[in-house]
Amino acid sequence: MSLIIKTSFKVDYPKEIIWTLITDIEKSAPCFPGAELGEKLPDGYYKGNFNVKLGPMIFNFVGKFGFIELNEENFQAKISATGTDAKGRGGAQGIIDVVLTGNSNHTCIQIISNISLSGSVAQYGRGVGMIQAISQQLINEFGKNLSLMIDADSTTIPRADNSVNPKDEVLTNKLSNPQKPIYLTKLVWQVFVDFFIKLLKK
Amino acid sequence: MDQRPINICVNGITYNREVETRRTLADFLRIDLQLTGTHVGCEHGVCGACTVLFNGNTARSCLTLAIQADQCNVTTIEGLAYPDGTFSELQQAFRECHGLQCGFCTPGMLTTLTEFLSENNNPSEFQVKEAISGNLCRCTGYQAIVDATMLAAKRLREK
Amino acid sequence: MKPTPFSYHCPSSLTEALDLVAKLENYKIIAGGQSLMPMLNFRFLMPEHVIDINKIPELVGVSKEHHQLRIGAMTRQHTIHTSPLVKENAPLITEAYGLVSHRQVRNRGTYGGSLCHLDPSSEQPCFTAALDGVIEVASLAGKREIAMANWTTMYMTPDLAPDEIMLGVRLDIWPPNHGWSFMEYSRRHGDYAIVGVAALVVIDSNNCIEKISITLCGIDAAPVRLYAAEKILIDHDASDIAVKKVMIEIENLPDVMEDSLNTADYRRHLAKTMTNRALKTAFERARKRI
Repeated sequence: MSLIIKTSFKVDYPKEIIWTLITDIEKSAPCFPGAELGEKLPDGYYKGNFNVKLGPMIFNFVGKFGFIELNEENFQAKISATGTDAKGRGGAQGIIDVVLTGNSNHTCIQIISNISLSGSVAQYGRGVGMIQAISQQLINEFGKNLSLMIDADSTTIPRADNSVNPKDEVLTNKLSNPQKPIYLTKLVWQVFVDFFIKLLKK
Repeated sequence: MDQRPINICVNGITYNREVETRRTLADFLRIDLQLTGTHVGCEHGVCGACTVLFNGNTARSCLTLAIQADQCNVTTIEGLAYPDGTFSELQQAFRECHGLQCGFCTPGMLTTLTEFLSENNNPSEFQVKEAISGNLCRCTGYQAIVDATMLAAKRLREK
Repeated sequence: MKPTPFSYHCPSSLTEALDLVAKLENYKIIAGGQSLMPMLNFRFLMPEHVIDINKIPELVGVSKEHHQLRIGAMTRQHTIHTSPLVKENAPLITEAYGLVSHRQVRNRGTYGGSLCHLDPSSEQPCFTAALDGVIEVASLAGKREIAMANWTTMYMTPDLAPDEIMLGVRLDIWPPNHGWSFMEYSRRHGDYAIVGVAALVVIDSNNCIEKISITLCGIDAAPVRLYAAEKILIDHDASDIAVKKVMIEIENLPDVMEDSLNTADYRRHLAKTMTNRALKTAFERARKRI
């Protein structure tokens, strides 16, 4: 089953900062709930795990991902990701295009994911629309966590709108136990499909 | 391995066994009790070949855990005939109307229709078709099954 | 095609069951088993624990309390289908169950199980939304209520915490002169609906719509209540023009499910066709009862 998922989110920081953060996998990966970053492989890819709940099913995807194209001048990146369910219920492969646009105050991150699913997970997925909606939710959460991380990380990076920094404990709560997949919040119940998201982690 | 004792009455005979909790009722009947009349077609509840009567109501035995039938009554195809071995009216009618060919769906058809006729002894053909909509047959094209049921209903009314 | 091994628990009281769901991880509750067992058999799900709640009497029952029907979570679908109390007070439900799967499944399947499984094409969440159902759940900490409109958090995921068990649902009883219709389109009798509709209406002696409820299933993760259309139709004539207005609302539905067999456009088309028929049937039935 092949899908094209288009998602996007906005953050109140200039795109240079977002670019640096996103392309630093070890920094941006903690922003994804349910994800675990593994070791860096000799070919430049990273190993990763992603735990996600889709309806009553809990998937534990194991795989690898990495940047295959980085175009800093145009703020465009391409990621390749593959993973299979640890319990043999299928797998997925994806090519994810990420484009950053914006001005000195805001950045819009657009993500186009070209995914193909196989096995039970494809059967169960039941429809592009559902996966689209779930992926968007997941991306929104990623975006929020990115913002919170930047806010908490450094007082020297001013927020675009000069608002008060969110409390540190909100960030800690959000980012703690990133590999515990379900039951914490409904936001954790996301589908794995967008591989850029699912395979990044701290 | 989680094993539990089970006390179950099947076709009037009580059995005491130990079952693994993940064993389905269908497998228990076929493997543990050697009652292979109940057939397993799909194991996910769509074909109806595994239908049995569970405390008098039809149920898909592939979707029931054997342990759930503890202290319960189950009737299978082997228990539909009269105690002296005479076919039930429905079984006799199936024979006369060729309501079966390979016989794979037949146990499920008979248990389903036994329940149906016990509640509706003067059905229309439409009602019979609706009653068997949960049982798949690849051989007969269903009409012979419907004919058999109508004949059985008539005989039961006359009884 | 056999389940993976699990530990089986069979509590005989609600408290015992709540205790289990509070302390166990990676469990699944087995109610009727008609949705769970296929998933176990396919090994889509591989829980470590299965909690059987079939021996808890307080979860079963159909009763009328004031202007509501209360149905216990473990009430078998066949029991509800053949209940005279339900037929008298909520004939929509009786009609809906005639379209739910097959007799063998309804004999074991439960109302609560269907609401917790929350398949988007399922009839039971649909009529629950149509009747403004309120879902009662319990945990060791106490009880909680969730309006059906808020029950679905995501695809096949209800607002039920891991330490909670559903107790039952309260449904509004419509006035005795209401008209109803539950219709669906599926390729075979008993299949999940591709699209289904639940319609309820009260019409006064001037053919004016006093109250109306229109809910679709097979469109989105949660049943889709056509609130905007309902608003437009209050005090409107119960006529073809009213139905046409609903068609426009359906045409403009923003998020419609799509899969390899049925496109969003096809579902919208089915929704319009079935709603057209259901509304006209509901109007007719209401007129007969004025």
